[in-house]
Amino acid sequence: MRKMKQGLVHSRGDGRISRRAFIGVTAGATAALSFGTFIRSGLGAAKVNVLTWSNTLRAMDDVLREQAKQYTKEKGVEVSFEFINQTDLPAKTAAAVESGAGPDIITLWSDGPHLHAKALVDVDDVTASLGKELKGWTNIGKDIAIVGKNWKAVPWGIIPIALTYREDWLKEVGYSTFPDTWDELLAASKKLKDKGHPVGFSLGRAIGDGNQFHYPLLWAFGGAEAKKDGKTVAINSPETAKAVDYRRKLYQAGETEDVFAWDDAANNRAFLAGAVSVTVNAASIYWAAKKDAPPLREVTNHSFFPKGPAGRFGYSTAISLGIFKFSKAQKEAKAFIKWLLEPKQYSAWMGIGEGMMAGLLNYYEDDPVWKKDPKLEVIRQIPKYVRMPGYPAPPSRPAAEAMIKFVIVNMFARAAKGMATAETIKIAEQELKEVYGKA
Amino acid sequence: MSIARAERLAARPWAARLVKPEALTGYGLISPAVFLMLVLLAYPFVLAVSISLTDRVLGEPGKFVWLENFLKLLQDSLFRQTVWNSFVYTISTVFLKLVLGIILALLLNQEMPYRNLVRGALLLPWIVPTSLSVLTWLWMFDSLFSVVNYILLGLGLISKKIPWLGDPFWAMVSVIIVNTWRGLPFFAVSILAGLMTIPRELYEAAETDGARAPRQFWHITLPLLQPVIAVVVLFSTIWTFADFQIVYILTHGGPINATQIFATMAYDVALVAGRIGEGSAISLFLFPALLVVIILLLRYLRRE
Amino acid sequence: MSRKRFRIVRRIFGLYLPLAAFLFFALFPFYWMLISSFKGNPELYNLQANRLWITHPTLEQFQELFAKTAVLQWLWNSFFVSFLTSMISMTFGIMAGYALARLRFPGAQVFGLATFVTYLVPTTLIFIPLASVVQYLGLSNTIWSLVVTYPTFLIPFCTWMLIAYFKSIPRDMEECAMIDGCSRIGSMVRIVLPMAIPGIIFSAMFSFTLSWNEFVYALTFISSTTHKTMSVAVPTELIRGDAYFWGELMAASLIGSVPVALLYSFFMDYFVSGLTAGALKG
Repeated sequence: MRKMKQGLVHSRGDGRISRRAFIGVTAGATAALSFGTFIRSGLGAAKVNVLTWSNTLRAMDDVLREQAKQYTKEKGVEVSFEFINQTDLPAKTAAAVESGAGPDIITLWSDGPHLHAKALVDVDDVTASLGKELKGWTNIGKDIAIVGKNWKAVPWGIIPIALTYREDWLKEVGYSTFPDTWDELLAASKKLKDKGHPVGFSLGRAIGDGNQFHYPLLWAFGGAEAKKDGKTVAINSPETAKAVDYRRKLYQAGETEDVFAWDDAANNRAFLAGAVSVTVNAASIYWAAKKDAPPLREVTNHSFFPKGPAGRFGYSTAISLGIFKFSKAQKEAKAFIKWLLEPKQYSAWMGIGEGMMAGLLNYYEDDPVWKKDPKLEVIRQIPKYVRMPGYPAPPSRPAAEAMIKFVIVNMFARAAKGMATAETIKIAEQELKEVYGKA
Repeated sequence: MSIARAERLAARPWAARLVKPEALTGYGLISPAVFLMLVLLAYPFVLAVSISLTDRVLGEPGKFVWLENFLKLLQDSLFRQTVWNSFVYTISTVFLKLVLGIILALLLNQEMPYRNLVRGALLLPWIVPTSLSVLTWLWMFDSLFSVVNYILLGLGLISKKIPWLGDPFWAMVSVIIVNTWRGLPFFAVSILAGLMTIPRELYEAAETDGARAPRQFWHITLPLLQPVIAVVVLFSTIWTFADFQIVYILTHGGPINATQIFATMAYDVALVAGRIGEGSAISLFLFPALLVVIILLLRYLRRE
Repeated sequence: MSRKRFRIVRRIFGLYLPLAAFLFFALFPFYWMLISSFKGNPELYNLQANRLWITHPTLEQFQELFAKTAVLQWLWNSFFVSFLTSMISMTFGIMAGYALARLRFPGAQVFGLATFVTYLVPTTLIFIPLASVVQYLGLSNTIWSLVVTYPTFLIPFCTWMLIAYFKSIPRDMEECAMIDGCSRIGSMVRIVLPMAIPGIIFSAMFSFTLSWNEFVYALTFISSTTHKTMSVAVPTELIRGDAYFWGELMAASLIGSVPVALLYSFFMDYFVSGLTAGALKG
């Protein structure tokens, strides 16, 4: 009984509710509870459960499964991976945080360590020893995982997002290298569309591609959603207006109108079917072409995001591994994460992905995988330019909420649909104020 | 067990005055259901309501803010759009399902070969798991490979492809189509059941009075179907207001929030952004109104 | 002669054509599911190919599915959970339904109303607190978490449905039995239940379908691949990263749809007659 009460207080947090909760449960569930304890008592040795996303490349998940088996064999600690598609991960995470039950290790999306800091164990010891052995952590790794003073998760990797383009079609319209500035890209896309090869950057509900294209665009023109303090909304600026104007022109001049319907998967299919010439994506298109369309792979290449007045930017999803406070196998979980990120294991995993995933420890910048194919060189360097939503402020709950509400993407989308620049910025400003006002 | 006890109690006059055996049997019979629903439905529901009155974020304690979440939502531009979308979605789908459902039920009530097979086939959209069938629709509405566009273009009904999930207007149309597709069988079969209970004699009498089919429909069929229609419409309205999967899978609320409805917005706010106080308030927003409607309807049905 | 022709024309325009349209609307997605699952990837993603037909039928999507996923396990889980929960809900529903239809006791009306109001409880919200309860019961990530939670939304339905059904059965027979010395429960089991079989089958089928369909609870309470049900496993395991593997997804959807379709084809008569006799009389 006592244990149960503690459990409730822990998970509810609010004393008032938990007392009521306690009475409610006691009244109803005593009998059922004893049944529960009975089941739980069956669990013996520590076992580490890891919940993670289903990687686009099944082969990468297979490597993890194998490594878990190997770890169990070598260290005698049972480890198992459970995979789930990325869109349903938030629901699972939320349920785990609230109920105090679930996996020991959870895969967190970019801002996850900041959002769930209170539910996660500090992992400074793991990151310190990994950092020492493997040339330290990249800036982006620190950005996502350090909350306040402590490491709340171990950065696991980043999915470098680049522009994927058709070399042959760009050559056809006179470009031997990819346009280096946004203005040049605009000119090129017009020529491409005239030849029947429009470009395409998602303006729909693509939580990945949509945001990954439009935050860097905003930043490159000098716009930002908030000031450095992470509190003052600063979207309404001449710089933002320039970015919005640019986006409208890009859509009208060179883009396929399918972009409004694109989810994260659609641009992959469109590119592979030869319907677009340039899109924004992880290396997964290049990877997929290997099996389904080898000739296409020959003429596909990657590029950085173009430069704007304020510089070159990127936004890629970074993932990290956090350990829940409720886990009964925290020590084992830490040991496993450390092991997983050591070169022998990590290189094998990263290597299979061929650019799908990059490490966040400096050591992995020189991983052999990058030498496999010259077309991966851009991918290797992408993390240098990456910032997180909310930039120039650090990742935060309001920034995360603005992203999942598609405030920035929708601002650009309305402009592309024809709304006046001032008006669409005004709506975005209003939405951002609502989001940031709650902090 | 409770019966034996009831009878023992009944043997004692003082106990009989307090609790009648019939009542005891009654309590015994409903107790498993009551127990399960108290623990696994009422209790979590009360918790959810109490969460909606706090400013809690995931995994953190919050403070009690009374109705602040609800009041703030009224000011929130995105929420207002969500309310509007939800009403458009619910009213248009319920209307479509009702009209088409009546037509379909009238068709199915006629004699025809393979009637049960036809009825079974028409029931399919409703019995197949939503998460699977809506995926099929997602694939059918694909921006590039849409088979719907393929057919419409092939038949020459449209000259350029329709951006099903890509345009705010068409996205709403798409989710309405899919919801109608899925919910129609429930309407049709329920109304069909209602039709089958209408005594033939009524029509025969009307026939002898010279009333033609349309008049029969307005004066006999429709009035007698009223209770069935009331129940079906009510259920469907509640389900549609709470609908999650269709929109979540097809558009995730987009594009530009054009299909954001209560459940998808609550999901985004509560689970993805972690603001579960506010998220709970969103999904409970209509609860009081629906409660009133449901009680009124129950009273109406009881009078019938 | 002309009258006969008129009747045929009327039959075509008044019945067959509209019915064909409805059938097309209802069944086309299943046709699309079917043909997509028998196409190989090159044909599936070829803009030039005829999309309404299969030129090179192949079983590779199914092979991939059976080789690399636990699809049969998922199917079994779905079946196990749906069967058990519909049995539980039906039993409790019969008990509660009978009590409310036949017995008078204080609180009956409140309970009746409460069962109705449960329809208003949004599952997209309630699963968070419910996850805590499931955890206290020690049932997280087991199939039993679904077996205990599904009846919460099935019992109200079964109860409500069976009240109407029991009410339509005349009281006299029961009273005769009771005068002959049968207890209340005895008469319920021996007299009323046999007469209510269509209604009982109907509500069992209905419960089975709703369980088979359930998504949110199964998503949040179950993590292990081997414990997932079909409706959750297909989207969570087969949508990978930012890619939908349509061939596999459609093949799996097909596998997940067939069992319920079969169930209905066997029990269709009961379904319609159960519905007619009870459910909607209020």
